[in-house]
Amino acid sequence: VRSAGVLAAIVAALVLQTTLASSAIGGLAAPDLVVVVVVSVALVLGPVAGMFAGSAAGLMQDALSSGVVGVGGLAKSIVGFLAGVIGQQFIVTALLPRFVMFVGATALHALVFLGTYAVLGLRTFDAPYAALGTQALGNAVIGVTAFALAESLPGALERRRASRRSKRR
Amino acid sequence: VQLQQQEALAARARTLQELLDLRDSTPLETVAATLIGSGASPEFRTVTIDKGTDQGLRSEMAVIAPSGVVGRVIVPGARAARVQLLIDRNAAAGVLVERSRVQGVVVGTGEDRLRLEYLPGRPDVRVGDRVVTSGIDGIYPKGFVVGQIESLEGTAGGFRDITIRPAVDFSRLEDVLVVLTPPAGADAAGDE
Repeated sequence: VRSAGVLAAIVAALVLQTTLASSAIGGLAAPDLVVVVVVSVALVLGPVAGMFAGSAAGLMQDALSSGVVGVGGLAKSIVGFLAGVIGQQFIVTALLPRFVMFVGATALHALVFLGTYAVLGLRTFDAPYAALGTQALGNAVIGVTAFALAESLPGALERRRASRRSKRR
Repeated sequence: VQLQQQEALAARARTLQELLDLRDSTPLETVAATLIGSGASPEFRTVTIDKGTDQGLRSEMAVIAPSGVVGRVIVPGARAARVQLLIDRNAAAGVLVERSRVQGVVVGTGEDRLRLEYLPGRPDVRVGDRVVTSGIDGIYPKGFVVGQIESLEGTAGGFRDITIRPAVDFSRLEDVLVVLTPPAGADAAGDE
């Protein structure tokens, strides 16, 4: 059930990425929703799940973009694993640590992804710091909001059920 | 709400009329396509169109819009194709400055601007000059608008950085034409 949920989240992120995110803000400044999902999975389910989710999501994203298949998979596997390890070693349940986590994960992903392309001589990226900063902030805001919604949803549903029950009595 | 719907329909009709005018005005064989998705990764500037090999599309075919050059087909499927936008970091096109006929190459920056490179030593270029395709790359037919020179950063020996504002607003792209006719000299370019 968990694997199906993770797969559904990755597919949803890819669908949103290809329809909304890139058209809202062009280029590197656009949020990478797949990174957000991978980091979220890693924080909730741990490093191994994060690594597998990152690998699968990255490969799917590579296949749907015009890049070399595998580079995104590698970058997201590393990000998923390290985010999971940090999530287990430190308490990252408060708003600020999670925000920092998403920013750091986006920076690491960019470093591995763009670095691999640069080292292999496939592409050059001229100092895309401003765009990457925007992307990191966008990812962090989306990630923190998604976490807050996901955590508050079961409680809200339970409160609604309870109030209905009390009205019937 | 009805008024908004009417305005949206009118805007769509205007876009399609412009596309039809472009198709009628060019001697090239073209097929109209609609954008159905954007790139899955922010690092690459690609879009997906709703026409593929079933409609005669092949790799390296030019994609144009009424306002100018959009990009080229890179991965054609049976009923859809991926198009690399001209602003992608890996994209380039042979161009010439319309006023002075100076030739060069525009390359994508990954953002919403293009860079003009490979110009001769002291090129005759000015801010506001229109840049059009030269047709020597074997992909884009000659004479289609690429953009306008927006800024020039110079050194004593010439220009170091020439930025071009693309004629196409890539964030508002909806319908395009794919050029099925290969440009003159495309075979020769492909053989090389």
